[in-house]
Amino acid sequence: MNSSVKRIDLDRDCIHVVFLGLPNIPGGAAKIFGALCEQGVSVDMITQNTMRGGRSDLSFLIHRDRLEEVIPICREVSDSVNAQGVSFATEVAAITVRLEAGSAETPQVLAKMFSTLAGAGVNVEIINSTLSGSEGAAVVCIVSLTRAEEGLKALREAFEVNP
Amino acid sequence: MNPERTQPLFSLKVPATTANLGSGFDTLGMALTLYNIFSVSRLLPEGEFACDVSGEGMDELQDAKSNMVISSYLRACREWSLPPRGFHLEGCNAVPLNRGLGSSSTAVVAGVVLAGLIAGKEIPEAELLRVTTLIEGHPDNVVPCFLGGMTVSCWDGTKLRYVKLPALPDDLCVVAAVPDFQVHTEDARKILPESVPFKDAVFNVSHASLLCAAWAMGRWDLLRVGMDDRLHQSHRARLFPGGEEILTRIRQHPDCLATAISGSGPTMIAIVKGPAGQLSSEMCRIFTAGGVASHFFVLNSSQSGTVVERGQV
Repeated sequence: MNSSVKRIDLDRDCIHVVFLGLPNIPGGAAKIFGALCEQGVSVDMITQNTMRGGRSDLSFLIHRDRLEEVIPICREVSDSVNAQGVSFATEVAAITVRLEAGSAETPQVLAKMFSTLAGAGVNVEIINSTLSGSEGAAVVCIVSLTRAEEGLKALREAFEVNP
Repeated sequence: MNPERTQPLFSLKVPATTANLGSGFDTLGMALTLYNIFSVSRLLPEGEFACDVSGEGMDELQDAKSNMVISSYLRACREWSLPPRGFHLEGCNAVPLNRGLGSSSTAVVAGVVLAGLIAGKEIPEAELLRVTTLIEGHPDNVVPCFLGGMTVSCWDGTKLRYVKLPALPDDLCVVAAVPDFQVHTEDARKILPESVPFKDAVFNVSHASLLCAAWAMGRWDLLRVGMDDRLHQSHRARLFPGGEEILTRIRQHPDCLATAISGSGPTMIAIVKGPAGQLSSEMCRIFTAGGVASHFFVLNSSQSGTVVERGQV
């Protein structure tokens, strides 16, 4: 089973941005990503949660180098879309587990991956996955930097993958 | 989008607050541009309540019997001899719970404001703030939470006096670094000394006075000194990892005008002129070094305070 995992990497250059309590009306996401696009800011791992009360949280990742530009953009857009606030987490990291293309063992890898992280005391804040494609599957977990190294070490040991 | 969703009867947008600001223990507080939203979706018979909470505290605050918006509403109804009509409450919370950003004050203010709204009774501002302070026990969160802006409050246990200071200029912002750590109110109270040396009392009177005068006159260069404190911060900063280091190290940053513990912690605030990203990241790095995860907000002073929207009753 371990042979299907190609690589496990840790990326410390991501920042997690969360728009809190975005009203569920058309146009909110368009304003946010339109404003970021105007400044040439790339985003990754866009997630919108379902909440009650007609509001939801929308989050995404940016590169650490763009933080100073992104903060004023997000503050301005947060006001204009009537969000409840916008938060930034700079002390996070992305752990990416890459599988061989066409691997039939993805469910087993996922189960082992998350039980390994749990066993290492690593809380996963966001999960994103690409489970098909010619490049193979990839699962990305955003975790706190306080536990990221422990999570990386535990996964590499569990899947017997060298750095 | 939920096309089935109906317009609430009342919707309240209630700001977070940072209080106990440096030398202004139990006195100075500021409303921030981070909000909880409380809505009344329908009225219920007297004494019947239901609530639905999402966001911060959604696991802890669902029980209507212990929900602070509802208990504050009932207390205000008793104070003003109003019939305690029941209601269905929806809370969308963005203010971190038990982190020193006034989440409980948003609930107290919402409950007291709802008492007047639901009874259709106009409550004078001073009386509304007296009752919120009576419930909260101190005025420095509830007063700015309702009025907005930076406020100076004086509460003798019976009478409340307050002044709203000029707005923080647009080129200044407030960074609130929020660790994933809770300081228990009991611990925060117990760690404070029963009495303080006379010279420390004088130190705080002079620095709090300087802080208020500097704020009123726009002398932002004096905030750093004006926020110096000898009553509470040095004690409470020891209750959570990184507190002491942020107080001493971040204030040396060239863009930082002042640092303080927000409320009784563990959130730390910095008033910043210029780009806030590097300084905010440094605050969170200090929490990480202490083994605690964190995130931050970059906020303005909320000048509007609590805003009420009325639907079709």
